[in-house]
Amino acid sequence: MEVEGLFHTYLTREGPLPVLQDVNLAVERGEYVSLMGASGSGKSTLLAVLGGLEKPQSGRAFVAGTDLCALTRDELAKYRRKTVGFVFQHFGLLGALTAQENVELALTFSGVPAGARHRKAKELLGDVGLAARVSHRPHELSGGERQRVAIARAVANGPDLILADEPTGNLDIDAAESVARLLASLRHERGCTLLVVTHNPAMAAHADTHYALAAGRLALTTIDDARGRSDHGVA
Amino acid sequence: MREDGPTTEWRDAVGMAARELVRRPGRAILTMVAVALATALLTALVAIATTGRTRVLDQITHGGALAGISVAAAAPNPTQEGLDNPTPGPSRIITSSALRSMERIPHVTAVVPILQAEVIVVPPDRPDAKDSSPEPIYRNDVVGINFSQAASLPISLVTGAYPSSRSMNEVDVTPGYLTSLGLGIGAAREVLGTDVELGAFRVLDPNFRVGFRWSTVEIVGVVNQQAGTGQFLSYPGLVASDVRWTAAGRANGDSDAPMSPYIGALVEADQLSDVSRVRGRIAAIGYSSSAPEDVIVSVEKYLHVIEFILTAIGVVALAIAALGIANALLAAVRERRREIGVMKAIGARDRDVMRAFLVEAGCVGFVGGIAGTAIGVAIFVGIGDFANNYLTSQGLRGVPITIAWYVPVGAVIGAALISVLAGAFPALKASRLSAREAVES
Repeated sequence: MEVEGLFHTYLTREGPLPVLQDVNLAVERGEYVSLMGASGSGKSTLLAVLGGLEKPQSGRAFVAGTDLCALTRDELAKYRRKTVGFVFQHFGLLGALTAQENVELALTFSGVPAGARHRKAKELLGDVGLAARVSHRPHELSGGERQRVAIARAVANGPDLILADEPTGNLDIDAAESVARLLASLRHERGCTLLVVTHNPAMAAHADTHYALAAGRLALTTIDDARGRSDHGVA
Repeated sequence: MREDGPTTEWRDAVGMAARELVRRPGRAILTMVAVALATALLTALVAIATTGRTRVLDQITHGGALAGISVAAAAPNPTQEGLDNPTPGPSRIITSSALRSMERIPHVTAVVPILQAEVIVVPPDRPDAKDSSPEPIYRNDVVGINFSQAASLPISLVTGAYPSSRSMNEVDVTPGYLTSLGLGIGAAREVLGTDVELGAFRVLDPNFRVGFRWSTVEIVGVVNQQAGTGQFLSYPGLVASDVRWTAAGRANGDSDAPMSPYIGALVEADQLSDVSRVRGRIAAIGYSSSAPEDVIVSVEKYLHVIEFILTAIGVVALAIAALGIANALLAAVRERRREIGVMKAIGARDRDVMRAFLVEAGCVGFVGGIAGTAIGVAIFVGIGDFANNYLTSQGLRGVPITIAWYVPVGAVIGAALISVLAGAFPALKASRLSAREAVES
């Protein structure tokens, strides 16, 4: 993953609001990267650009050899389907679907036949320790279990890159640690790149590399710096 | 990178739509009820309007007051050409060969000869009469027709039955007979099973001495009829022998005795549009005819207008239901912005999201359409029964309660299609939502 000279500005009533300013980033395949920063520092926007949810206004962003700036809407959809997996703070599970159906949904959009979908979803839920909860709906699961379902869905299509936006933000300490370990182990088992936006130093501690984003500018940091920022409430 | 993978399968889209509907049962049921009520109204109104135009018109052109083409035992009057009810020319005997010629006219479905004999009527004494004086005798006519062709004749049964083809002494009477006895139509059943004496007469000699040929007949039914002018209807056998009896009086100077065995014939054209052509051919054969063409055309036009108005009311109802669907789906799009964003974040294309919403709208329309069509058909049958009860109580023939297959099928398909159309804007709006909605807090 390589990002060069990325700029992104939102137009607000008060005028242009730059959120990413000359962001440069290089991440090796299989690397675990944590990204920290205060609210409004541009973390989610950077995640959205790297995940193909939003096109950068200027600069270049390459993921697995794909130039994200050159993709059409449909091509971005395919990129999201095949190349990236998302894990959201709010879990992003569809309330009408069971755990298994939520995982299957990602496979449905990839055109995987029904039988193969069912088998794969059950297998993935077993991998995240939810074999007994496949037919439960999200409201019947704990926060940690929901996030495990979301992680299973994120890896369903075998992505090169997993983007996690504060995956432990809505979890208690034990569930957060469990999810952090799960993500770290998945990275090792599947060899995918992991970029995690987090306020949680314990989560960040699993990462190989640490970045901090402040006022739209990205900088390498250390876990100790990150802990210090977190302790001062500006992480 | 090109986008060339398959979209979600229809089965998956239907499954997702069903789950979304089950997830919000209140809204889903209310929306379906709106569609069902509108479809019920449309189905019932279209069925009623169609029946009004086809069945009612069919009834009045086959056996009602506006029945077919009446052929007179007379030559056509050139000065009355083209009139619905022309004054006939000179008398002309309707022969068997003339009837066969009429049967061969293109677009003629039936030719029914009508016999009529003048008789003296001796009614039975009424048991509830206040005085002991007998009922007065009077002159009237017996009309002879083949009751197996009743569907092609201007005859409708009020009560009782048609005479049996095997019996020479069974007759039906008209409400005119009841009036002669001082009875109303409500007392029609009272005359069933009673006997009446009918006497055909003949001038026996040049001195106009008259002889009678008496028959005692049993009344088995009461009918409304415009086939002839008599109060009595029977199979042709009884009437033909009376006609022959009276006609023999011509030899003794009775110039009023009938020359023709038939007083006329009723010709049924295939369709209303054929009536004018058939009448032309009947005139060419040499007979005067009458038919209420102008009246029927006017009736048809009015029924078309009624059909249009009733259908328009149903369509307006369905349009209102469609707005309800659009509103419900727009609300769903607003509520599910993040879910739509998540779907896109995990790979859904714009058309996948659009399909999901269109299928949801289609499911609402389909289920609501089926329920509404069933209700509409039930309403139609109920109204039909009520109308038939009224018609028969008024001494008129009922209307068949049938519904063309394409009305319910069209209603279900129409409801589903209109629902999909109503869902098009919300679906488009949902499909154009940014995938970024997934990470918005």
